[in-house]
Amino acid sequence: MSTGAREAAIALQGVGKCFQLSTVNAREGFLETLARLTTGRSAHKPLWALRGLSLEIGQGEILGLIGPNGAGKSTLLLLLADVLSPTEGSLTVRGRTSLFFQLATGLQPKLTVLDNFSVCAALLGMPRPQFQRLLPDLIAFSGLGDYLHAQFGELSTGLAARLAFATAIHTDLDIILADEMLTVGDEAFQGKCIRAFKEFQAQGKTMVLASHSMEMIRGLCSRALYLNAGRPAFLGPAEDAVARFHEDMRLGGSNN
Amino acid sequence: MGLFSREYRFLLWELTRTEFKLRDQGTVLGFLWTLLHPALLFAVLYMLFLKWMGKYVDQYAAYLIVGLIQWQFFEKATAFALTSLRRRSALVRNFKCPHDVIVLSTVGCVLASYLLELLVAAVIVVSLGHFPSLRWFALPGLIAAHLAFTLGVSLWLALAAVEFQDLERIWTILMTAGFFLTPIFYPLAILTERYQKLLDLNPLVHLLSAFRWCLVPDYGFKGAWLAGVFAVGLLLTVGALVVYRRAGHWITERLLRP
Repeated sequence: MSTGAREAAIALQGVGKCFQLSTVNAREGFLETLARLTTGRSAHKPLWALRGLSLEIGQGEILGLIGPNGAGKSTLLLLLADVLSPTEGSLTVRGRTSLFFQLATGLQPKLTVLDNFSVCAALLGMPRPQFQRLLPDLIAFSGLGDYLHAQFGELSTGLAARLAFATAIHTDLDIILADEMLTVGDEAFQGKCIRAFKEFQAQGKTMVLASHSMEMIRGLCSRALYLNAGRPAFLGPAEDAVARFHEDMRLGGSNN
Repeated sequence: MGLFSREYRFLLWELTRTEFKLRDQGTVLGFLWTLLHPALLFAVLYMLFLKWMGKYVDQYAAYLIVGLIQWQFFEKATAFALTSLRRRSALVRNFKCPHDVIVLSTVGCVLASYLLELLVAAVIVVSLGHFPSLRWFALPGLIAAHLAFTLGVSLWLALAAVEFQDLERIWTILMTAGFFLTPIFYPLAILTERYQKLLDLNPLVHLLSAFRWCLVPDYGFKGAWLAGVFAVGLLLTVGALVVYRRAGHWITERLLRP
Protein backbone atom coordinates (compact mmCIF):
# COMPACT_ATOMS: atom_id res chain seq x y z
CA MET A 1 0.00 0.00 0.00
CA SER A 2 2.35 2.74 -1.25
CA THR A 3 1.97 6.16 -2.84
CA GLY A 4 4.89 5.63 -5.16
CA ALA A 5 7.62 8.22 -5.76
CA ARG A 6 6.30 11.04 -3.52
CA GLU A 7 7.93 11.33 -0.09
CA ALA A 8 5.60 9.84 2.50
CA ALA A 9 4.27 12.29 5.11
CA ILE A 10 2.77 9.36 6.99
CA ALA A 11 3.98 5.76 6.97
CA LEU A 12 2.40 2.86 8.86
CA GLN A 13 3.78 -0.66 8.92
CA GLY A 14 1.68 -3.44 10.43
CA VAL A 15 0.03 -1.04 12.86
CA GLY A 16 -2.40 -2.39 15.45
CA LYS A 17 -4.08 -0.83 18.46
CA CYS A 18 -5.50 -2.86 21.31
CA PHE A 19 -7.60 -1.40 24.13
CA GLN A 20 -8.30 -3.08 27.47
CA LEU A 21 -12.03 -3.06 28.14
CA SER A 22 -13.30 -3.45 31.68
CA THR A 23 -15.51 -6.48 32.23
CA VAL A 24 -16.82 -5.53 35.68
CA ASN A 25 -19.28 -2.84 36.68
CA ALA A 26 -17.70 -1.83 39.98
CA ARG A 27 -14.95 0.75 40.22
CA GLU A 28 -11.58 -0.80 40.94
CA GLY A 29 -10.47 -0.11 44.53
CA PHE A 30 -6.96 0.50 45.85
CA LEU A 31 -6.38 -3.14 46.84
CA GLU A 32 -7.74 -4.49 43.55
CA THR A 33 -5.42 -2.15 41.62
CA LEU A 34 -2.49 -3.26 43.76
CA ALA A 35 -3.38 -6.93 43.17
CA ARG A 36 -3.68 -6.33 39.41
CA LEU A 37 -0.30 -4.62 39.27
CA THR A 38 1.48 -7.27 41.33
CA THR A 39 -0.14 -10.42 39.91
CA GLY A 40 -0.80 -9.18 36.38
CA ARG A 41 -4.34 -10.61 36.58
CA SER A 42 -6.92 -8.20 35.27
CA ALA A 43 -10.68 -7.97 34.84
CA HIS A 44 -10.13 -6.41 31.44
CA LYS A 45 -10.44 -8.03 28.04
CA PRO A 46 -8.43 -6.95 25.03
CA LEU A 47 -10.19 -5.35 22.06
CA TRP A 48 -8.27 -4.75 18.84
CA ALA A 49 -9.68 -1.48 17.48
CA LEU A 50 -7.26 -1.56 14.57
CA ARG A 51 -4.97 -4.28 13.25
CA GLY A 52 -2.65 -5.09 10.35
CA LEU A 53 -2.60 -1.66 8.76
CA SER A 54 0.28 -0.81 6.42
CA LEU A 55 -0.03 2.40 4.48
CA GLU A 56 1.88 5.39 3.13
CA ILE A 57 0.34 8.81 2.63
CA GLY A 58 2.30 11.15 0.39
CA GLN A 59 3.10 14.79 1.07
CA GLY A 60 0.15 16.89 -0.11
CA GLU A 61 -2.16 13.92 -0.51
CA ILE A 62 -5.75 13.92 0.75
CA LEU A 63 -6.72 10.48 1.97
CA GLY A 64 -10.33 9.66 2.74
CA LEU A 65 -11.17 7.37 5.61
CA ILE A 66 -14.46 5.52 5.43
CA GLY A 67 -16.14 2.66 7.24
CA PRO A 68 -19.06 1.89 9.54
CA ASN A 69 -19.13 2.98 13.21
CA GLY A 70 -16.50 1.16 15.25
CA ALA A 71 -14.38 0.44 12.19
CA GLY A 72 -11.31 2.09 13.74
CA LYS A 73 -11.37 5.46 11.94
CA SER A 74 -11.10 7.60 15.08
CA THR A 75 -8.49 5.26 16.57
CA LEU A 76 -6.38 5.69 13.44
CA LEU A 77 -6.68 9.49 13.63
CA LEU A 78 -5.72 9.43 17.34
CA LEU A 79 -2.66 7.32 16.47
CA LEU A 80 -1.65 9.70 13.68
CA ALA A 81 -2.07 12.66 16.05
CA ASP A 82 0.24 10.92 18.57
CA VAL A 83 -2.49 11.04 21.21
CA LEU A 84 -2.27 7.22 21.35
CA SER A 85 0.62 4.92 20.52
CA PRO A 86 0.30 1.71 18.49
CA THR A 87 0.29 -1.60 20.36
CA GLU A 88 2.14 -3.21 17.47
CA GLY A 89 3.81 -2.11 14.26
CA SER A 90 5.55 1.15 13.46
CA LEU A 91 4.21 4.57 12.61
CA THR A 92 6.01 7.64 11.24
CA VAL A 93 4.40 11.06 10.89
CA ARG A 94 6.53 13.82 9.34
CA GLY A 95 5.28 17.29 10.19
CA ARG A 96 3.12 19.15 12.68
CA THR A 97 -0.35 17.76 13.12
CA SER A 98 -3.46 18.09 15.21
CA LEU A 99 -6.92 16.62 15.37
CA PHE A 100 -9.80 18.52 13.85
CA PHE A 101 -12.56 16.81 15.75
CA GLN A 102 -14.13 16.88 19.18
CA LEU A 103 -12.08 20.01 19.82
CA ALA A 104 -14.97 21.77 21.51
CA THR A 105 -15.20 19.07 24.19
CA GLY A 106 -11.92 20.28 25.70
CA LEU A 107 -13.15 23.84 26.11
CA GLN A 108 -14.75 25.49 29.13
CA PRO A 109 -18.52 26.10 29.04
CA LYS A 110 -18.41 28.55 31.97
CA LEU A 111 -15.87 30.86 30.37
CA THR A 112 -16.62 33.41 27.66
CA VAL A 113 -16.25 32.73 23.95
CA LEU A 114 -13.26 35.13 23.86
CA ASP A 115 -11.54 33.25 26.71
CA ASN A 116 -12.14 29.96 24.94
CA PHE A 117 -10.56 31.26 21.72
CA SER A 118 -7.27 31.74 23.58
CA VAL A 119 -7.59 28.39 25.45
CA CYS A 120 -8.24 26.60 22.17
CA ALA A 121 -5.34 28.32 20.41
CA ALA A 122 -3.00 27.43 23.28
CA LEU A 123 -4.18 23.81 23.22
CA LEU A 124 -3.51 23.64 19.49
CA GLY A 125 0.07 24.76 20.15
CA MET A 126 -0.27 28.29 18.78
CA PRO A 127 2.20 30.77 20.33
CA ARG A 128 0.63 33.84 21.97
CA PRO A 129 1.92 36.46 19.46
CA GLN A 130 0.48 34.44 16.57
CA PHE A 131 -2.84 34.09 18.38
CA GLN A 132 -3.02 37.84 19.06
CA ARG A 133 -2.26 38.54 15.42
CA LEU A 134 -4.83 36.05 14.15
CA LEU A 135 -7.65 36.75 16.61
CA PRO A 136 -9.60 39.12 14.29
CA ASP A 137 -9.40 36.48 11.52
CA LEU A 138 -10.54 33.73 13.90
CA ILE A 139 -13.53 35.81 14.98
CA ALA A 140 -14.41 36.71 11.39
CA PHE A 141 -14.10 33.10 10.16
CA SER A 142 -16.17 31.70 13.03
CA GLY A 143 -18.85 34.38 12.70
CA LEU A 144 -18.98 34.60 16.50
CA GLY A 145 -18.29 38.35 16.69
CA ASP A 146 -21.65 39.01 18.40
CA TYR A 147 -21.09 36.33 21.04
CA LEU A 148 -17.56 37.14 22.24
CA HIS A 149 -18.63 37.93 25.80
CA ALA A 150 -21.31 35.25 26.05
CA GLN A 151 -20.63 32.09 28.03
CA PHE A 152 -19.32 29.37 25.73
CA GLY A 153 -21.78 26.87 27.23
CA GLU A 154 -24.71 29.07 26.15
CA LEU A 155 -23.87 28.61 22.46
CA SER A 156 -25.64 25.98 20.38
CA THR A 157 -23.60 22.89 19.45
CA GLY A 158 -23.11 24.21 15.91
CA LEU A 159 -21.89 27.62 17.06
CA ALA A 160 -19.64 26.05 19.71
CA ALA A 161 -18.00 23.79 17.13
CA ARG A 162 -17.28 26.84 14.95
CA LEU A 163 -14.96 28.30 17.59
CA ALA A 164 -12.70 25.26 17.73
CA PHE A 165 -12.86 24.64 14.02
CA ALA A 166 -12.01 28.24 13.10
CA THR A 167 -9.03 28.19 15.48
CA ALA A 168 -7.80 24.84 14.15
CA ILE A 169 -8.07 26.03 10.55
CA HIS A 170 -5.81 28.99 11.37
CA THR A 171 -3.21 26.87 13.17
CA ASP A 172 -0.02 26.31 11.22
CA LEU A 173 -0.16 22.56 10.61
CA ASP A 174 1.52 20.33 8.04
CA ILE A 175 -0.91 17.43 8.40
CA ILE A 176 -4.62 17.86 9.03
CA LEU A 177 -6.64 15.05 10.59
CA ALA A 178 -10.36 15.71 10.36
CA ASP A 179 -13.40 13.70 11.37
CA GLU A 180 -16.87 14.58 10.10
CA MET A 181 -16.02 18.15 9.21
CA LEU A 182 -19.35 18.52 7.40
CA THR A 183 -21.21 18.17 10.68
CA VAL A 184 -19.74 21.48 11.87
CA GLY A 185 -22.08 24.45 11.70
CA ASP A 186 -24.66 25.37 9.09
CA GLU A 187 -24.43 25.19 5.30
CA ALA A 188 -22.70 28.57 4.98
CA PHE A 189 -20.07 27.62 7.54
CA GLN A 190 -19.57 24.21 5.94
CA GLY A 191 -18.96 26.00 2.62
CA LYS A 192 -16.25 28.09 4.31
CA CYS A 193 -14.66 24.93 5.71
CA ILE A 194 -14.63 23.21 2.32
CA ARG A 195 -13.01 26.30 0.78
CA ALA A 196 -10.40 26.31 3.57
CA PHE A 197 -9.67 22.64 2.95
CA LYS A 198 -9.28 23.26 -0.77
CA GLU A 199 -6.82 26.04 0.07
CA PHE A 200 -4.88 23.58 2.23
CA GLN A 201 -4.87 21.23 -0.73
CA ALA A 202 -3.47 23.98 -2.96
CA GLN A 203 -0.78 24.71 -0.34
CA GLY A 204 0.28 21.06 -0.54
CA LYS A 205 -0.78 20.12 2.99
CA THR A 206 -1.44 16.49 3.77
CA MET A 207 -4.93 15.61 4.97
CA VAL A 208 -6.70 12.56 6.32
CA LEU A 209 -10.47 13.05 6.29
CA ALA A 210 -12.76 10.58 8.01
CA SER A 211 -16.36 10.91 7.00
CA HIS A 212 -19.67 9.18 6.43
CA SER A 213 -20.33 11.65 3.60
CA MET A 214 -19.32 9.69 0.51
CA GLU A 215 -19.99 12.79 -1.60
CA MET A 216 -17.30 14.68 0.30
CA ILE A 217 -14.83 11.78 0.11
CA ARG A 218 -15.33 11.52 -3.65
CA GLY A 219 -15.12 15.30 -4.07
CA LEU A 220 -11.98 15.96 -2.03
CA CYS A 221 -9.92 12.78 -1.89
CA SER A 222 -7.84 11.06 -4.54
CA ARG A 223 -7.54 7.85 -2.52
CA ALA A 224 -9.56 6.39 0.33
CA LEU A 225 -9.01 3.74 2.96
CA TYR A 226 -12.05 1.65 3.81
CA LEU A 227 -11.81 0.17 7.30
CA ASN A 228 -14.10 -2.54 8.55
CA ALA A 229 -14.02 -3.99 12.09
CA GLY A 230 -10.52 -2.62 12.64
CA ARG A 231 -9.09 -4.15 9.46
CA PRO A 232 -8.19 -2.45 6.17
CA ALA A 233 -10.81 -3.70 3.72
CA PHE A 234 -9.78 -1.60 0.72
CA LEU A 235 -7.21 1.08 -0.16
CA GLY A 236 -7.27 2.73 -3.55
CA PRO A 237 -9.06 5.33 -5.66
CA ALA A 238 -11.78 7.06 -3.65
CA GLU A 239 -14.51 6.10 -6.17
CA ASP A 240 -13.61 2.40 -5.87
CA ALA A 241 -13.34 2.52 -2.07
CA VAL A 242 -16.80 4.11 -1.83
CA ALA A 243 -18.23 1.54 -4.27
CA ARG A 244 -16.70 -1.31 -2.22
CA PHE A 245 -18.06 0.16 1.02
CA HIS A 246 -21.57 0.51 -0.48
CA GLU A 247 -21.36 -3.04 -1.80
CA ASP A 248 -20.43 -4.41 1.64
CA MET A 249 -23.20 -2.44 3.32
CA ARG A 250 -25.72 -3.79 0.81
CA LEU A 251 -24.51 -7.33 1.42
CA GLY A 252 -25.17 -7.23 5.11
CA GLY A 253 -23.62 -4.31 6.95
CA SER A 254 -20.37 -4.26 8.83
CA ASN A 255 -18.56 -7.29 10.14
CA ASN A 256 -18.80 -5.91 13.69
CA MET B 1 5.63 20.72 23.06
CA GLY B 2 8.89 21.37 24.95
CA LEU B 3 8.77 22.41 28.61
CA PHE B 4 10.50 25.71 27.93
CA SER B 5 8.90 26.52 24.58
CA ARG B 6 6.74 29.63 24.19
CA GLU B 7 3.82 27.44 23.13
CA TYR B 8 4.08 25.60 26.46
CA ARG B 9 4.26 28.88 28.41
CA PHE B 10 1.14 30.18 26.63
CA LEU B 11 -0.70 26.92 27.32
CA LEU B 12 0.38 26.92 31.00
CA TRP B 13 -0.80 30.52 31.37
CA GLU B 14 -4.15 29.84 29.69
CA LEU B 15 -4.90 26.68 31.69
CA THR B 16 -3.87 28.35 34.97
CA ARG B 17 -6.10 31.33 34.16
CA THR B 18 -8.94 28.94 33.32
CA GLU B 19 -8.55 27.02 36.60
CA PHE B 20 -8.44 30.31 38.52
CA LYS B 21 -11.59 31.61 36.88
CA LEU B 22 -13.42 28.31 37.28
CA ARG B 23 -12.74 28.31 41.00
CA ASP B 24 -14.74 31.57 41.22
CA GLN B 25 -11.62 33.51 41.96
CA GLY B 26 -11.81 35.64 38.89
CA THR B 27 -13.74 38.16 40.96
CA VAL B 28 -13.00 40.05 44.18
CA LEU B 29 -15.90 38.31 45.90
CA GLY B 30 -14.59 34.94 44.71
CA PHE B 31 -11.22 35.61 46.31
CA LEU B 32 -12.93 36.70 49.54
CA TRP B 33 -14.70 33.35 49.61
CA THR B 34 -11.38 31.51 49.40
CA LEU B 35 -10.02 33.70 52.21
CA LEU B 36 -13.03 32.82 54.34
CA HIS B 37 -11.94 29.21 54.83
CA PRO B 38 -8.50 29.91 56.35
CA ALA B 39 -9.96 32.89 58.22
CA LEU B 40 -12.65 30.74 59.82
CA LEU B 41 -10.21 27.96 60.66
CA PHE B 42 -7.85 30.55 62.15
CA ALA B 43 -10.63 32.04 64.29
CA VAL B 44 -11.71 28.64 65.65
CA LEU B 45 -8.17 27.43 66.39
CA TYR B 46 -7.21 30.76 67.93
CA MET B 47 -10.21 30.79 70.27
CA LEU B 48 -9.75 27.14 71.24
CA PHE B 49 -6.02 27.11 71.81
CA LEU B 50 -4.99 30.67 72.77
CA LYS B 51 -5.22 29.99 76.50
CA TRP B 52 -3.31 26.70 76.28
CA MET B 53 -0.75 27.39 73.52
CA GLY B 54 -0.40 31.05 74.45
CA LYS B 55 1.70 29.85 77.41
CA TYR B 56 4.28 28.39 75.03
CA VAL B 57 4.06 30.76 72.07
CA ASP B 58 4.68 34.48 72.39
CA GLN B 59 2.83 35.81 69.36
CA TYR B 60 0.25 33.07 68.96
CA ALA B 61 -1.95 34.86 66.39
CA ALA B 62 0.99 35.49 64.02
CA TYR B 63 2.39 32.02 64.68
CA LEU B 64 -0.93 30.39 63.86
CA ILE B 65 -1.77 32.40 60.74
CA VAL B 66 1.64 31.87 59.12
CA GLY B 67 1.55 28.12 59.80
CA LEU B 68 -2.03 27.75 58.64
CA ILE B 69 -1.43 29.44 55.27
CA GLN B 70 1.64 27.30 54.53
CA TRP B 71 -0.22 24.12 55.43
CA GLN B 72 -3.26 25.03 53.41
CA PHE B 73 -1.18 25.69 50.29
CA PHE B 74 0.25 22.18 50.50
CA GLU B 75 -3.10 20.58 51.31
CA LYS B 76 -5.14 22.41 48.65
CA ALA B 77 -2.53 22.11 45.90
CA THR B 78 -1.98 18.37 46.38
CA ALA B 79 -5.70 17.59 46.72
CA PHE B 80 -6.61 19.68 43.66
CA ALA B 81 -3.72 18.28 41.60
CA LEU B 82 -4.51 14.69 42.54
CA THR B 83 -7.78 14.76 40.61
CA SER B 84 -6.57 17.11 37.88
CA LEU B 85 -5.77 14.57 35.15
CA ARG B 86 -9.10 12.79 35.52
CA ARG B 87 -10.98 16.09 35.79
CA ARG B 88 -9.47 17.35 32.56
CA SER B 89 -9.32 14.04 30.72
CA ALA B 90 -11.35 15.55 27.84
CA LEU B 91 -8.32 17.69 27.02
CA VAL B 92 -5.97 14.72 27.02
CA ARG B 93 -8.29 12.64 24.87
CA ASN B 94 -8.84 15.29 22.22
CA PHE B 95 -5.66 17.35 22.07
CA LYS B 96 -1.99 16.48 21.94
CA CYS B 97 -1.75 18.18 25.31
CA PRO B 98 1.24 17.51 27.61
CA HIS B 99 -0.09 15.93 30.80
CA ASP B 100 2.31 17.78 33.07
CA VAL B 101 0.89 21.16 32.03
CA ILE B 102 -2.49 20.15 33.49
CA VAL B 103 -0.99 19.45 36.93
CA LEU B 104 1.26 22.50 36.74
CA SER B 105 -1.68 24.76 35.92
CA THR B 106 -3.66 23.32 38.83
CA VAL B 107 -0.83 23.99 41.27
CA GLY B 108 -0.33 27.39 39.60
CA CYS B 109 -3.94 28.29 40.33
CA VAL B 110 -3.58 27.38 44.03
CA LEU B 111 -0.24 29.21 44.10
CA ALA B 112 -1.95 32.41 42.95
CA SER B 113 -4.46 32.17 45.85
CA TYR B 114 -1.64 31.29 48.25
CA LEU B 115 0.38 34.36 47.28
CA LEU B 116 -2.64 36.58 47.82
CA GLU B 117 -3.29 34.90 51.18
CA LEU B 118 0.37 35.36 52.10
CA LEU B 119 0.05 39.05 51.29
CA VAL B 120 -2.99 39.33 53.56
CA ALA B 121 -1.11 37.37 56.27
CA ALA B 122 1.89 39.72 55.95
CA VAL B 123 -0.39 42.73 56.43
CA ILE B 124 -1.89 41.08 59.53
CA VAL B 125 1.56 40.18 60.89
CA VAL B 126 2.71 43.79 60.44
CA SER B 127 -0.47 45.10 62.03
CA LEU B 128 0.32 42.87 65.03
CA GLY B 129 3.55 44.83 65.45
CA HIS B 130 6.05 42.62 63.65
CA PHE B 131 7.58 45.07 61.23
CA PRO B 132 9.38 43.91 58.07
CA SER B 133 13.00 43.01 58.67
CA LEU B 134 15.89 41.89 56.47
CA ARG B 135 14.59 38.34 56.91
CA TRP B 136 11.72 39.17 54.57
CA PHE B 137 14.25 39.04 51.71
CA ALA B 138 14.40 35.27 52.29
CA LEU B 139 10.68 35.01 51.47
CA PRO B 140 11.06 34.36 47.68
CA GLY B 141 13.55 31.56 48.41
CA LEU B 142 11.21 30.00 50.97
CA ILE B 143 8.26 30.23 48.58
CA ALA B 144 10.42 28.53 45.92
CA ALA B 145 11.30 25.71 48.35
CA HIS B 146 7.65 25.27 49.34
CA LEU B 147 6.55 25.32 45.70
CA ALA B 148 9.21 22.80 44.63
CA PHE B 149 8.18 20.36 47.35
CA THR B 150 4.43 20.81 46.82
CA LEU B 151 4.74 20.58 43.04
CA GLY B 152 6.88 17.43 43.26
CA VAL B 153 4.36 15.70 45.53
CA SER B 154 1.43 16.93 43.39
CA LEU B 155 2.90 15.61 40.15
CA TRP B 156 3.49 12.12 41.60
CA LEU B 157 0.07 12.06 43.27
CA ALA B 158 -1.71 12.98 40.04
CA LEU B 159 0.18 10.23 38.25
CA ALA B 160 -0.65 7.65 40.92
CA ALA B 161 -4.32 8.73 40.88
CA VAL B 162 -4.52 7.79 37.20
CA GLU B 163 -3.99 4.16 38.23
CA PHE B 164 -5.40 4.14 41.80
CA GLN B 165 -8.90 5.52 41.46
CA ASP B 166 -9.64 5.84 45.19
CA LEU B 167 -6.40 7.58 46.06
CA GLU B 168 -8.38 10.79 46.63
CA ARG B 169 -10.09 9.31 49.69
CA ILE B 170 -6.84 7.93 51.05
CA TRP B 171 -5.09 11.28 50.59
CA THR B 172 -7.91 13.11 52.41
CA ILE B 173 -7.40 10.83 55.41
CA LEU B 174 -3.63 11.29 55.27
CA MET B 175 -4.06 15.06 55.12
CA THR B 176 -6.30 15.02 58.19
CA ALA B 177 -3.58 13.12 60.05
CA GLY B 178 -0.94 15.45 58.59
CA PHE B 179 -2.76 18.50 59.97
CA PHE B 180 -2.27 17.19 63.51
CA LEU B 181 1.24 15.86 62.85
CA THR B 182 2.43 19.29 61.74
CA PRO B 183 2.96 22.07 64.31
CA ILE B 184 0.33 24.38 62.85
CA PHE B 185 -1.56 25.35 65.98
CA TYR B 186 0.92 24.03 68.53
CA PRO B 187 4.67 24.56 69.00
CA LEU B 188 7.11 21.66 68.70
CA ALA B 189 8.32 22.46 72.21
CA ILE B 190 5.21 20.91 73.81
CA LEU B 191 6.22 17.49 72.47
CA THR B 192 8.77 15.14 74.01
CA GLU B 193 12.23 15.15 72.44
CA ARG B 194 11.58 11.76 70.87
CA TYR B 195 8.46 12.98 69.07
CA GLN B 196 10.19 16.17 68.03
CA LYS B 197 12.87 14.07 66.32
CA LEU B 198 10.20 11.96 64.65
CA LEU B 199 8.47 15.08 63.34
CA ASP B 200 11.77 16.15 61.78
CA LEU B 201 10.87 13.62 59.10
CA ASN B 202 7.83 15.73 58.20
CA PRO B 203 9.04 18.20 55.50
CA LEU B 204 6.23 20.63 56.33
CA VAL B 205 7.70 21.10 59.82
CA HIS B 206 10.83 22.68 58.33
CA LEU B 207 8.95 24.80 55.81
CA LEU B 208 6.61 26.16 58.51
CA SER B 209 9.53 26.88 60.87
CA ALA B 210 11.40 28.79 58.16
CA PHE B 211 8.36 30.92 57.24
CA ARG B 212 7.82 31.71 60.93
CA TRP B 213 11.50 32.65 61.29
CA CYS B 214 11.05 34.96 58.33
CA LEU B 215 7.79 36.69 59.27
CA VAL B 216 7.56 36.42 63.05
CA PRO B 217 10.69 37.11 65.13
CA ASP B 218 12.02 34.73 67.80
CA TYR B 219 11.63 31.53 65.82
CA GLY B 220 14.42 29.41 64.43
CA PHE B 221 14.61 26.68 61.81
CA LYS B 222 16.98 23.89 60.84
CA GLY B 223 18.79 25.10 57.71
CA ALA B 224 20.18 21.71 56.69
CA TRP B 225 16.76 20.07 56.91
CA LEU B 226 15.19 22.90 54.93
CA ALA B 227 17.85 22.58 52.23
CA GLY B 228 17.08 18.84 52.19
CA VAL B 229 13.37 19.52 51.68
CA PHE B 230 14.16 21.91 48.82
CA ALA B 231 16.49 19.34 47.20
CA VAL B 232 13.93 16.53 47.59
CA GLY B 233 11.26 18.82 46.11
CA LEU B 234 13.42 19.60 43.09
CA LEU B 235 14.29 15.93 42.61
CA LEU B 236 10.63 14.90 42.86
CA THR B 237 9.61 17.59 40.37
CA VAL B 238 12.32 16.90 37.80
CA GLY B 239 11.87 13.11 38.14
CA ALA B 240 8.11 13.43 37.70
CA LEU B 241 8.46 15.65 34.62
CA VAL B 242 10.75 13.08 33.00
CA VAL B 243 8.26 10.29 33.76
CA TYR B 244 5.32 12.37 32.45
CA ARG B 245 7.13 12.92 29.16
CA ARG B 246 8.04 9.25 28.80
CA ALA B 247 4.71 7.79 29.93
CA GLY B 248 2.42 10.19 28.05
CA HIS B 249 0.62 7.52 26.02
CA TRP B 250 0.25 5.26 29.06
CA ILE B 251 -1.45 8.11 30.97
CA THR B 252 -3.84 8.84 28.08
CA GLU B 253 -4.84 5.19 27.81
CA ARG B 254 -5.50 4.92 31.54
CA LEU B 255 -7.64 8.06 31.32
CA LEU B 256 -9.68 6.53 28.51
CA ARG B 257 -10.92 3.94 30.98
CA PRO B 258 -14.04 5.08 32.86
